Amino acid sequence: MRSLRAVLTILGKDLRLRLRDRSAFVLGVGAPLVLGLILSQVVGDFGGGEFHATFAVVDRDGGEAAAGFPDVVRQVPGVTVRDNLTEAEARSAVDHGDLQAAFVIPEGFTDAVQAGRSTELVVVGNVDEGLMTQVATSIADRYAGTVDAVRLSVAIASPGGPPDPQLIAAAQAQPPPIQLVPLPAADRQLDSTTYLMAGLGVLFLFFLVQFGVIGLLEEQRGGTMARLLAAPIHPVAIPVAKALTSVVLGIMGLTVLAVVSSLFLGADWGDPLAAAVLIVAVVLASVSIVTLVVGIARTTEQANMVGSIIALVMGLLGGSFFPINRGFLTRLAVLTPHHWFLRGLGDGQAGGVGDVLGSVAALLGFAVVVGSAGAVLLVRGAWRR
Amino acid sequence: MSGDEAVVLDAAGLRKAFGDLVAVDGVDVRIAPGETYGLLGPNGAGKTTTISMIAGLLAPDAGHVTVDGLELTTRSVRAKVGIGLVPQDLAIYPDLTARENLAFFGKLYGLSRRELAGRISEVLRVIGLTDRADDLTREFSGGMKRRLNIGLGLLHRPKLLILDEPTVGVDPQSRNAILESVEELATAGMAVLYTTHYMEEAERLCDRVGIIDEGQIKAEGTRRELVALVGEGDRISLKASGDLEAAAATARHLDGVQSASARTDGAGAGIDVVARDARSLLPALLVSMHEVGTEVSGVEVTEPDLESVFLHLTGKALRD
Repeated sequence: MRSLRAVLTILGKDLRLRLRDRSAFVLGVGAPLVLGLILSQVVGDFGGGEFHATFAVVDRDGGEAAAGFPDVVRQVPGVTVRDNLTEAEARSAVDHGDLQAAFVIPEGFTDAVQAGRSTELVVVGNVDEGLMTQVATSIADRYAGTVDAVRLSVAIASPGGPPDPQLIAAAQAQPPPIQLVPLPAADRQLDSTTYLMAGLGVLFLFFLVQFGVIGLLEEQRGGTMARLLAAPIHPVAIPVAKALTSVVLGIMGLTVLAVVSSLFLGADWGDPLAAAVLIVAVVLASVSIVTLVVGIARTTEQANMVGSIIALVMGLLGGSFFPINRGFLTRLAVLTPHHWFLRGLGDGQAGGVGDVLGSVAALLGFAVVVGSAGAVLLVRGAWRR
Repeated sequence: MSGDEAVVLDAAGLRKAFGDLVAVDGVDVRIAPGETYGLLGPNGAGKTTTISMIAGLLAPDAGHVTVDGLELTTRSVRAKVGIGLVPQDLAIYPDLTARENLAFFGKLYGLSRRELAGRISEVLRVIGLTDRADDLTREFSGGMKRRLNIGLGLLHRPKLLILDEPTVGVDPQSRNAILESVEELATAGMAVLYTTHYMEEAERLCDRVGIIDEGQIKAEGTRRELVALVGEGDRISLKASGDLEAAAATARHLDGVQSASARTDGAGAGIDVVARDARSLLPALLVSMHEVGTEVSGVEVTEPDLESVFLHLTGKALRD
């Protein structure tokens, strides 16, 4: 009972110190939020997640061949269509980044199609939105192909005569041979915002949890360890309290990041309970590594340096910045808590706790194996000397 | 102290080696309630290793420690309640206030919330920091930090207070305040173990002194016992005129005089006397000088100090 009280007393003191200097908040929440925000703007969507774009369709033709085009564009998942702009307005909006691209159907488009003459469908793109311009061009190509198929069908059905409007309508109503459809929800990957927030959150988690366990070496350097060891408490209560400080800081940091990124940045961490279980598991795994580092290190500087290297290497390997899809590295990635956390979040996007149990088991296994070695080293560690 | 007296601290046969280096070798320390024991030695003599074992920070390779009758190990909980430690290095949290520092360590010593509030106020008053209780200690001067460092050791009313060189790097005013506090605590019945390499502090505070060097207690006792142990007498220097040789011969016959000689160097002429106890000899000496017609115009008494004892015992100065 006395030892438990001592653990809670040291935990309370450490949390007070960490919250007072705000560095934990900056590292655990501020850094991943800011870096995630910047990276999501720089990298854009990379993960096969949901696609979002707004395109304008300017119909200067007004004929039958042009009338179906806005609906064709709308059929592309994730695309929003604005068809109430003039050509000048659309070009301006694209230039200013308010639209990702615009389609301009010129006057005489329908006549040209029906007469079998060459015509054009103009795609207005932004030099800064190269990917979106390519998407728009693909849509235009596809429509051109459809129009061509209709024209050919009608031409074959009524050779030499005027085009039959009913025949044209029937040909247009035929579904395209290939359609873009959203993948089933259960198989979805994380969208880029969620991926970056979660990935960077785990990356910085490894720095954040150092605040607790490395406190052992700081107590030694600051002279307070002698007073703690002279106090009437079991000596093991001290490292236990420090590890608990790491766990509490880690859970607080990732939870606040999840809530803030969900509320303000549109991140989707999936089922809250599943996300909470994953957060606890990944925090335990990260604390186990820091415990091992502090168990080996002799000074605070040494522990910080080794801890930072491990955090960065594991973060890169585990996919904190971007998914790793190369054979050898993919196999190494499974050795990192980051990989299992991100995978668990992906699995849990449309499911519940049951869908993330595999990842949770991997994380807890990691925590037990590494943490056991760390605990042995920590109890015998340099902080006692 | 005799073996029958009550003791708060009984450390016997303490030994500690770090690899091939024997830092402490067979040290015995016993301290009674209300007694201040000084462990006097130069840097590296083994003082801090000794008190680390006595405070339960370090397990001895041999020997044992009991505090207030309870066996002490690094894992003892009950025995450690009786110890207050003031480490040589400042052991306070700079980002906590003085009150928060006291509250934190008070809780670790098991003080109840009510008890804690009273003790914190009391200790803040004793160390003179009541007005700064709610300031972060990083804003304190060096002396204020030192006083708080001592206050943290006193908070739980220990039976044994261990102070490891508490005045290192402290300004004279704060040093005096610290020494006065230690004197008050001993008067109140606390046993104090005080390590220092400042001879004047040991002489002022300590009822008994253990002289430690190279991990061993070279000698132990009151200041007078230590001086007697090395056979050094007090020196009386009389500035005088008249028949100085006759006066010196007279002085040699007085009880307690070890030697007396005339000094005939003009303005500094007089008599040098070496005696067991200058203060008790002085009245008789002055009377005898008057009787032989020697006119005494000045008296200077020099008692041998611990510095000279230390030099005699170890062959080196305290600050080496």
